Amino acid sequence: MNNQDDQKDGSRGKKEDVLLPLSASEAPHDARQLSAEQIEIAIERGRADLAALEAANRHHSAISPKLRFS
Amino acid sequence: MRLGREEGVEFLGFGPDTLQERLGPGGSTDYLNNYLNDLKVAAVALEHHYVDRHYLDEFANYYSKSFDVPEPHCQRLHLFSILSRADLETLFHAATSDPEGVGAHEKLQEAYVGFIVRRPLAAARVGRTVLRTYPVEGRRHYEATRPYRVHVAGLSFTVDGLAFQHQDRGAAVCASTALWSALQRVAFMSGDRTPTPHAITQAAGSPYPASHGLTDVGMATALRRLGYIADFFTPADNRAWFRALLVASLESHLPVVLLLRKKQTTGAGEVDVGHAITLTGFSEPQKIVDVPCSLDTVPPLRMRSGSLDIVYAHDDNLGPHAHYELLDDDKGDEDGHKQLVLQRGDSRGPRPATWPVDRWQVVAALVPKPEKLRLSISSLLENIAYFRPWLELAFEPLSLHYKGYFGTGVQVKKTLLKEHVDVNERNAILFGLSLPRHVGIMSVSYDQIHLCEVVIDVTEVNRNPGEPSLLAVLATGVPRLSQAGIRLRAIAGRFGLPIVHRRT
Repeated sequence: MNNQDDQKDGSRGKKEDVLLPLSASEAPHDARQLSAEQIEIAIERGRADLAALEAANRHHSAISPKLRFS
Repeated sequence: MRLGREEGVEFLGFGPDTLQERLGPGGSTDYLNNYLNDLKVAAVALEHHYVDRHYLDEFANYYSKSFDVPEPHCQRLHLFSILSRADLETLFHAATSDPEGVGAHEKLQEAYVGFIVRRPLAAARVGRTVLRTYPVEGRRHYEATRPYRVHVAGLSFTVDGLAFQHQDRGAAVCASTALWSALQRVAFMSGDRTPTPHAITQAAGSPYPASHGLTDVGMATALRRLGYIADFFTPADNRAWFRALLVASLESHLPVVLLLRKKQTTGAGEVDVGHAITLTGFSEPQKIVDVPCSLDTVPPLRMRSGSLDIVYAHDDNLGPHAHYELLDDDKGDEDGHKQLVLQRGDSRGPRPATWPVDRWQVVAALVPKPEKLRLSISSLLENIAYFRPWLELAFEPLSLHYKGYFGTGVQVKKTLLKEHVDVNERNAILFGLSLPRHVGIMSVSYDQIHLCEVVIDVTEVNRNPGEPSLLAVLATGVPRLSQAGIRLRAIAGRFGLPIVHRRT
């Protein structure tokens, strides 16, 4: 596992930094917070993906009715 | 002793001939001997007269009406590890003469490996058999087991396993026997008494004698009539997805009835023969792989379960918890799909040597479920596609992998009690959130680090297309004041979901 990957903003640091606790005072500032729009876009994308999969999977492949398990 | 019948409990040492003398020679006896030697079985308490409910039902409805009627009762062999015959007898006497004293009874319980019912059927002696699984070390998972309570000479023992027995070919064949093993677990989950093999065969409603076997529809019909439902899926053209569904079922503690097909050459040409076995566990897959969804427009899901290669199976042609392997064969089947093949045996070599290793095409899986567990296993995994975009947003830039399984609301709350989580958030869920009996759990990890679980209601299918019924977010691997924790909380807040974080 490479802990020194490039971050998307170009800075170098550990990927796992997103899991490190921040102090109560710095948390609201240091965390790259999400906008409501980012959240809505992600939710809509997930909803669309799942709805498409549900629509595509409304059938079952059948086994030949002649095959008996004995 | 009544009418010259041998009764009571006899203590025996366990040697190479112990099973052979009682079960007869053959590959199955060799397999059981091998299995019991691995579990270090050294002594046996033999109940000479044992009434087995499952055999008795077959006797009442089938064998009692034969010309050559077998005995209506069985024998039962209780197997103990490590202890010598003399130690076993001494401990039994010590435990029964001082029922309040727990030392001898505890030692016996520690050594108890399980039991084998010996039926009075010359060609199918192995009746209901419950054996402890191999030690869960390394990659082995035996998820589809349950506790059995056993009574011998006034003493009670428990063993965790899943009942196995040979098909007798008269009252039940492999299809009923495989369902019977699976229902041992599912009936237990539902709080029901396990149906007998005869009851399962009858419930299938086949117009033909039991020896003709059952179709997949007949097997599903039996489940429906016995008060259960079935999931059904095929490898078709997505073998990785099929593998992931097998693991999801087993991690949900649901045994899988695997339906197999093979070409057999007969005097009248080549015919298809079918066989059914019950999967009880699997070896933890080693690789995280991209598992394609059923649509090209939806990106693959990263799951370890997509690389499943070793399963453990109850096979009524062989024995319990047998090591079998899933292989890809790119030769097309009749529908043009690349085949998923089950090798019945270990690539490293058969154990014992008499184990006939062969290969079958996997045609489908049938998973018996409690009636109220209505969401299909396939839908459960598809729901990961719903969570993925916002989980990737919360955990950016981590590369996530997923798994999904069914659990219970009770289990979710009990697990929270053991986790190192924020107490206020935990109590809000324990005291403030009602959970259904059956829930779906989407588990998210990064490399070897478990991050969080999203809990959904699975007692019904999604009411609105593309929208699972969300219940809670359990971010037990994510501190509240980390970037991921803050982001995840914002998303949970958007849904109005309770969330619990790791305590820091």
